[in-house]
Amino acid sequence: MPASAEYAASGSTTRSLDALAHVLEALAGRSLSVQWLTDDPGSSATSRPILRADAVLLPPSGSPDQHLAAIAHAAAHLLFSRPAQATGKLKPMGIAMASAIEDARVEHLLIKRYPGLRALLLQQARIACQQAQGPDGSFADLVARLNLALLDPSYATDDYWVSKGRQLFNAHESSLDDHATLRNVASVLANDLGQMRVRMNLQGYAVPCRHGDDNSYLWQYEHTSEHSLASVDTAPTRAGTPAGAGDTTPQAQELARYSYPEWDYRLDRHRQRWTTVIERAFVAPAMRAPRVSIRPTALDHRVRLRRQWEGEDIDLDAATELMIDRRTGSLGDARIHRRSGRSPRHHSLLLLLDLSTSANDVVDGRTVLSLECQAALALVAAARANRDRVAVHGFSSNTREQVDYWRLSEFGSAEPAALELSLASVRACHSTRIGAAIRHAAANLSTEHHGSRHLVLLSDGEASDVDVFDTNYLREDAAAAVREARRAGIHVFCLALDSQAGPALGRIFGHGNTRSVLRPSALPLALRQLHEQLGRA
Amino acid sequence: MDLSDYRLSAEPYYRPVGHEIALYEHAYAHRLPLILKGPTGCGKTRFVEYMAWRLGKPLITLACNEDMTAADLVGRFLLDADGTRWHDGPLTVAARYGAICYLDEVVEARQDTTVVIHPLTDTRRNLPLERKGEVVHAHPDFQLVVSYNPGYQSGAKSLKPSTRQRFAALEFDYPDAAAEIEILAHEARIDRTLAATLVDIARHSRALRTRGLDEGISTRMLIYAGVLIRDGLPAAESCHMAMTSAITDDPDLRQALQDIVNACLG
Repeated sequence: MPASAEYAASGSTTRSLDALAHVLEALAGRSLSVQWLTDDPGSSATSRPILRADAVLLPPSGSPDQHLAAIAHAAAHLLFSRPAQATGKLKPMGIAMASAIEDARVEHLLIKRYPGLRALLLQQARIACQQAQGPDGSFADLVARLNLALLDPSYATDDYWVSKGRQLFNAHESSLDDHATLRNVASVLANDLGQMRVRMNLQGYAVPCRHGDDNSYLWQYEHTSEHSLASVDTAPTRAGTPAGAGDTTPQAQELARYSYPEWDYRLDRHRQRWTTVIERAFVAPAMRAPRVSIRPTALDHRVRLRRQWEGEDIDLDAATELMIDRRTGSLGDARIHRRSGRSPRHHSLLLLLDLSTSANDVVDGRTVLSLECQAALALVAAARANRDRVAVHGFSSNTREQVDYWRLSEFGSAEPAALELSLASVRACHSTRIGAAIRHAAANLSTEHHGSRHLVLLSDGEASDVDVFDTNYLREDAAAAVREARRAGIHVFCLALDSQAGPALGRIFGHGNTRSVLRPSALPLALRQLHEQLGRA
Repeated sequence: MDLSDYRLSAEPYYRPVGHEIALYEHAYAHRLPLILKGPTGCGKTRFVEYMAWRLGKPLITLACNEDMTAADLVGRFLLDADGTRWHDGPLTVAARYGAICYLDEVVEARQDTTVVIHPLTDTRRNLPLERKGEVVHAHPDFQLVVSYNPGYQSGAKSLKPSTRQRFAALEFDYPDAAAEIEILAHEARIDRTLAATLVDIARHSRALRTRGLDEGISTRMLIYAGVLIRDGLPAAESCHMAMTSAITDDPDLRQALQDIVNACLG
């Protein structure tokens, strides 16, 4: 590939922070995190990436190529620059000039090592030259042009200073590793600018190339750089998402809204589009949904298949019959082998947590919610050991207009840490509209085609909501929702966390499908037993 | 039984990276069972082929998998017009007639399958065929070699200690840059400059093993890419086809690898 080719290999592919971090590690051989830089919108034109010893902060604005170029530039500094140099007696313009020459030096060295990056960096230098921050002849304009001239030998310039800079730099082409000589070139050039009476806009100046970092990595300033105050948001900023604090607390996000009917026992029919289920999830920062492939079920020696066409053993009964058949002149069945079969199919299990206010009740010194969480983790562990697919969702309701449905972990996700993080973030509030939650959970389960499907509700009380005064209404609706789910082929069970609620929940789910847990500490065990029971079902 | 099909007709190309040839020869002299450990595509199988050729022994290779049963190794009864007939499995053939038996990716086989090799791998050196009621005494030339990749095996898949302790082990890794360039230039028949660039890409990809890539780009993949480039395909496309697309399904990692390829080619 000729080096002068326009950079077009990757077009405008957007790259995630993860992908950029991978590239940085591969190029620089060091593991740094890559994060978005959240800044006040007014400064987006002068906002530049920031390179720190532990992280690269990228302004979210800018093209994908610009992000990649920023990563390449950061790698160049990590590989070839000396960080935190003393500024000494350098004036701001001297620092800016030394930084510009240092940027050019490390980019040259980087291109020597990774020739494919030349086109990308050149493209960025050209853009910077076209969109210079100042008028012709200003400091920013001159630096941008010098930068391009150093990268692109074919760039024609009639400016004396730029030509001189290029000559001086090229004279040291062979000794680019020598950091000190290039500092001399920078001071000569800065000196010239002083004599040319070129002024530098101290407040508004930013490195001409948008992919170049603000060079705070290079210098050890007397006092803290203003950039160190810049806030960092590790979650990808999306339109409409309120920016939150940049800690590791996952942010709640609304995913979608669904309408469901509700059963009115007094009318003996459904009220159509009566409840609104709002699906929400915690967006854990920098945590990806893991991709897990469903492994094929393993051979199981306990399952012996008889009368097979092939296998590792001969099925003696079948073989004897065949020999008798042959001796008597008939054809017989030639399927005379035995082999191991596959173990029974696995299950999909959705655990639905009741997150209403009553989950904040304290039993035996612990909240019901924390018990629910502990139980959920125990169940997920048991299910995974059994290679079942398991998801954990939760719900609470605040009138029929707002049934909040939390997707805490998804089917097939294999990271207990993500679930723990989600569980740690849920808050119990509002009421318990069981019917709507069961309808939505059943809709979620109906997309699972992995063995039998189970829905387990973990609840501590009766169905209730603030806009319903008839105690039978929601109970009857929940019972109807359970019947609908069963008709759809879903096994519905309930674990009651309160001995008093047990009978009421029993009327909804059927007594055979309800278990009351009298002692909260016995809950994890009960859940595991329930899971084993499901396995036998 | 004629094992000539299992003999290597020509010398396989193998470039030694250490003393592994001498070590293997000593192990073979005492018929020690061997484990070859190393990442995928680093030359374990080629090494066994080379040693079989060098020692002039037939080589019976068996790729292990989860559904493999003991009968697939030792043999089974088949039925014909006159009744039952015993059919030796590959392990029995190797033990009976004196071959090197190579079980590739041995941890893929279930642990209850691999225990059938136990009597062959200690001083007994025999193989009881319990279904048939025969004890096969191993031929003096017989040796068992197994390989596996310790990198991405989960905890569930490993060798039982009782199996593991019957073996001596040789560890393999990707060769150093100079050796890898030499191998690549020879195998793909490309010039050394291109080979050096490809090896550079592979080295960077191996650095991503800490970032979620199961395995870095292997020497085998490099050879595939080299062959495609020699055939006249553009270098970037060859690398994309033979390396970056093949190695991972993760879009972020694939994008990163693609960027690294573009950075290194020039």
